[in-house]
Amino acid sequence: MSNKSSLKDKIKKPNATQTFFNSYDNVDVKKEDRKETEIKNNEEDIIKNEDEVASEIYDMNDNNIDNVVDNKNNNDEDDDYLRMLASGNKIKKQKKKKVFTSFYMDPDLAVEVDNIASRGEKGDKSKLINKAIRSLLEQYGVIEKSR
Amino acid sequence: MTAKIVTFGISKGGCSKSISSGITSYLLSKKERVLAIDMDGQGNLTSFLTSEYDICNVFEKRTVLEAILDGDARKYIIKIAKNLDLVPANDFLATLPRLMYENGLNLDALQKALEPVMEDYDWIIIDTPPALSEHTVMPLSTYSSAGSYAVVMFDGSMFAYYAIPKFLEIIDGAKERYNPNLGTAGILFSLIDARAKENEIMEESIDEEYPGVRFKTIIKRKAATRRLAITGFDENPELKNALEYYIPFVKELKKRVKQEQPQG
Repeated sequence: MSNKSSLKDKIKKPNATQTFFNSYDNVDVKKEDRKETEIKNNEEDIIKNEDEVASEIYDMNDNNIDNVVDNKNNNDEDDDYLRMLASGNKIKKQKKKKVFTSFYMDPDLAVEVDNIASRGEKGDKSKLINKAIRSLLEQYGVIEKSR
Repeated sequence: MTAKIVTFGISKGGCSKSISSGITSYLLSKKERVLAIDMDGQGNLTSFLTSEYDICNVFEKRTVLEAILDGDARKYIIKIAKNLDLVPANDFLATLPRLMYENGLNLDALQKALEPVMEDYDWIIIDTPPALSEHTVMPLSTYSSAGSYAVVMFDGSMFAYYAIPKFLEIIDGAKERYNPNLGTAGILFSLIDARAKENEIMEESIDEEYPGVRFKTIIKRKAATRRLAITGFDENPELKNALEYYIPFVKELKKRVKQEQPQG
């Protein structure tokens, strides 16, 4: 609100009756806005429904491509890092974005993984698990080898 | 014939709005068809005309609230006498603003609810609560091709004196936005104590400020009128006494709404 209209409002205050009626004018405007938004949302929903599957598949593929590129770039670093970590040396390394998930492990593997991770920092356990699964899936030919 | 609408109001309690609207409805119904509408959640007009005080249970979901939400008053009209019907109210009317908002209703919601019955009556008499709210504004915003009028109640007190211009502002607002046919029928004195020395000063002040608007009839409150809420109208031996001041008021009202209205 401009300074001029702010001052004007102070000089010429609307009374309660005007404010009451004006509040219904605002409701009308809001109602119109809501209608427009609903129409827009419906249109968007229809578009989304039509393209939903394709779009999601595209997103998944896109993510996969990104991941492959990202993983290729980072895999060497992770490998070196984990090698150092497993051998008892600690290297400072930047954290990368991950997806949270959970699964059951064999107790002996869980103990061993915990031992290794305890020497590192937060997130090292995830790196080790990722490395192990990636290695296995590369071996199975499910994913492309990182190098 | 399309109904004339008369709304009794003032933004101060205890000015005889319910009693006046109830007695006016009763008197008009002697010769014409009348629909009384209670827009006050206290339900005093409802109790006055039905002699029913357990209004929350007896009129549960059968009130003006549901009529407005349904957009049709017909299902909610109850018969009081040969020419007198009522759309009752109870405490649940307090939820009206919230429900109106939720249902996207505007201040013409009562108008829409009354449209199907507008031709069924000669008069629609509406009682309102003493507040600037939907309950008061919607009756004033209700258009009738036969005319819509407001009767401004005044009890002779300073509080009511200062409530008059506020109520006239509400009338102006409703007239400007929703109901160009709305007129002020007049200011009706309903004096608590007819012997109070300030009454004459009040009359002069009102006449100076709102020339020609005050009804010539002055209601002087009496016990017999008050007892109508207990004894009712039928077979009431003191009925003539109870209605003493209202009979000339209704005559004056009818005369006023037939001619061009003085504006407050």
